[in-house]
Parts: sequence; structure tokens; C-alpha cells
Amino acid sequence: MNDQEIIEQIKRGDESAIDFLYKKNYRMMVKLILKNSGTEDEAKDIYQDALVVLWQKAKNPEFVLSSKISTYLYSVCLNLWRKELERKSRHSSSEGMDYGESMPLDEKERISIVQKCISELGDACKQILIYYYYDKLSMAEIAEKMGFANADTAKTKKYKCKQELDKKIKTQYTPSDFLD
Amino acid sequence: MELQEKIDQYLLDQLSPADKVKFEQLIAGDSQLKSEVALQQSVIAALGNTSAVQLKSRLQKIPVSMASTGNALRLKWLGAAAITTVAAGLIIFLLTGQEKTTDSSDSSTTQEVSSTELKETIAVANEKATAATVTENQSSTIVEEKAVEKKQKSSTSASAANELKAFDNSTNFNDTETGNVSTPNADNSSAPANTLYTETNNKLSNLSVNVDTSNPKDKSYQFTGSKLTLFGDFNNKPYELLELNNKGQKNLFLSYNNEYFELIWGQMKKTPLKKVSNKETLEKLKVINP
Repeated sequence: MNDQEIIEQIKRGDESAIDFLYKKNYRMMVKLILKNSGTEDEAKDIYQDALVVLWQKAKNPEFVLSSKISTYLYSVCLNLWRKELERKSRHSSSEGMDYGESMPLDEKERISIVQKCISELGDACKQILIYYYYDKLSMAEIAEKMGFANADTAKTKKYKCKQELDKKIKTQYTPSDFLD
Repeated sequence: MELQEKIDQYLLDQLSPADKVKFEQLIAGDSQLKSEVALQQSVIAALGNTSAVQLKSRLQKIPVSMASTGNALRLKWLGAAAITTVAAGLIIFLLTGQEKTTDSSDSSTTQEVSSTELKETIAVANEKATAATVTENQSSTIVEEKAVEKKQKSSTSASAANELKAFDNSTNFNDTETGNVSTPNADNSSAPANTLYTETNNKLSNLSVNVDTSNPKDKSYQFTGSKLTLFGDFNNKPYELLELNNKGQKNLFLSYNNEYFELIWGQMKKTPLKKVSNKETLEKLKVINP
């Protein structure tokens, strides 16, 4: 499987491409962190975050791979590890990985409110909503991935899941909480 | 069309440019709609974060470790070594057989030809092994400074040349009595180098490693048959077993926490780990395990 095929797989939402990359480049990325005063656990964490970054970026239609995937991951790992070292040196508390672009804190808080509501949904609902709103898959693709009879069934399920999520959000927070 | 569906289409970039402009005008003039769109934007971002968390959790379930992947890479070396050993064994077998049926002058000619062929086979095997190392070096130094990379590559080549020389020494048929080679009970101390090589290689392929962490400060090792036990806190950081061709023998080393220790094959007594101090050996080890 070459780099372009891997990117195509990621764009189609096939996580096995990420599994493949994880195993393939594990040694190289972990060595990078170990050589820079990290432990294997820290290296694993950073490398997993780097793969998540690739997973998210590759889904953007404008994403163009300008180097080998291993080079790309190496640079991302290096940057993430530098940030982590800076964070450590400041002795600030860990807030976990920031998967998005840097954003104002209030927006982060709003997202975290919604994320908590999403975590209360069933696994199937979570997955359908991720496929539709984040991975931007069509109803036919969602039906295939989730094992539904057809696109209409997927559409109905997605509608119900979204209603459930909106209800959870709105019973706890008013829409004005989401305004700057 | 339901308002919610329209918001979805707007945020998922499914509206035509004209409809998009119209909808943005609507948003600008309706604060309730504006807050609803902001909420849905947060929903999409939160779903992205949830997706990331799920992906990370999936990766955490994949069993990987430096030790296991390291072993996989070492297997490439072992594979190349095994090819060499099998080739050496086959040719020794053929030479032994031919000795019985040909006179001495014919035999020496045959031995010379076969010896050359064997060297070629060994060279190919070594090239494969070297290629594996160079690939690893290349991949692990992509973004590192080029000067360092060049240095590593040249060291690798130098090491490969030394190893090829070592293999050549081990197959010097002029000094070898083929009878000794095929004798299973030959004394290792007097046996030709290629006999030692074959036997140590067989041992390594059967070796299993146990770690005893009951006393983390105790750094020692012990062989029990084909089992190697490492005593100490070896589960905290990755360790690797490395083998190095040296003057026709394969020596075993342990790499741990940026240090190298020599292990003596078959050491039945629990023995403290001794750091490698020989500069030449250290350089070779750093080449195969940069």
C-alpha cells in the first residue's frame, strides 16, 4: 500500500489505514521521542496524537501530501513533543490534546459542553453523527458502514440521534450560551 | 424545508453559492438563527473531538512495543544470517561429498570454485542485511541533520565491510578440515569459525527472554537452556538484544537505556551485566542500533 492509497483510504473513513501506519512507523516515531528525553508511554501518546492530526487533516478536500507520510508524521510528532516539553517546563496542568486549531477559550468551553452531551449518547448514535457531520459521508455510505438496510434508514436514525443530542444540549444550556 | 436541515446544509457546505449568500444574509439579520448556527458549529467541532478520542482509543488497543518491533527488525538480520548459514552448510555438504569421489587435484579446483560461489552468496546475504539497516537509518533520520545521517551511513558501510570480512574468515576452506565441520560433537574451541557461527545462530533462533523485576536495582542475567532471564527494571524502558558478527563469531549484546552490555552465551550462573567498554564494538553496536 503506497502513501497515496493510504490517504485515499483515510479520506473514505477507513481506520485500518491508520492502524497500518501506526504499526509501520511506530519504532521510528518512538525513537524520536526517546532520543529527546521522553518515555515510551509519552512517545506512544504523542505518536497517536500525530496520527489523529493526519486523520483529521487528510479529510479536508484541500489536503495535499507534499512529502512522504512518514516524514509528515515525524514533523508532527516533533512539533507535538516540543509543545509538550514547553508545557512541562511551565509546570502547567495537562488539559489533554488539543485536536483542533488554536481557538479562544470560550469556544473551547462550548465545544466541551457539547462533547459531554455527545458522550451520553449511545455508541451507534455517536457514530452516525460523526459519520454525517464530521466525516461528511453520504446516507448510503453510512447505511453501508452501519449495516442498515438502506440510505432512508440511515437518514431516519441520524434524524433521531440529532434530535436526542439537541434535546440534551438544550435542556442544560440555552442557545445564547453559544453566542460570543 | 426545515430550518435545522438548512443549517446542516449550510455548515456541511452543501448549498449553492447563491443560496449560501442568501442564508448568510438571513443569519446576519436574525440573532436567534445566529445562535442556532453557532451551536451547530460547536456540535460539529465536538463530534470531531469525539472522533479523535475514539481513534486514539482504537490505537491504544493495538499491541506495539519497541522490544517487539525491534525483534522484528532483528529478524531481518537473522534471516540474512540464516541464508548464509544454510548456504555454507549446503556447500560444505557438497564439498564433503565430492571429496570422496574425486582425486585431490580435482577436489581443490572444486573447492576453490565453490568457495567463490559461497562468498558471493554471503555477500548477497550481507547486502540484504545491510540494506535493512540502511533503510532503518534512512527512515529514522529523515528530518535529522544531514551531516549526522551521512556519518551514520558511512559507518554502516564500514561496518558492513567489516562483517563481510568476518564472514569471509569464517569460510576459509584452505584452513578448514571439512571432517571437523560436519562432526556434531566437535569442540567449539578448536572447531572452525563457521561451526561456531552455525551453532550460535541456532541458539539465538530458539532464545526466549524473561524479565525478573523483583529487584529493580539488580542488573544481571542468566541463561537456562534456551531461556535468557534479565534481572532488573527492564520493563520500564525498551530493551533490545543485538547480535554482532565479530571475527567469525556472533556475540550477543543487550541494549538498554542508551547503554550496551555484553552477554556470554550459555552463562548458567547469574552474572552482573557488564557494560561494553571496547570502543570499536560500541561503534559497531551504535551503527546497528542508532
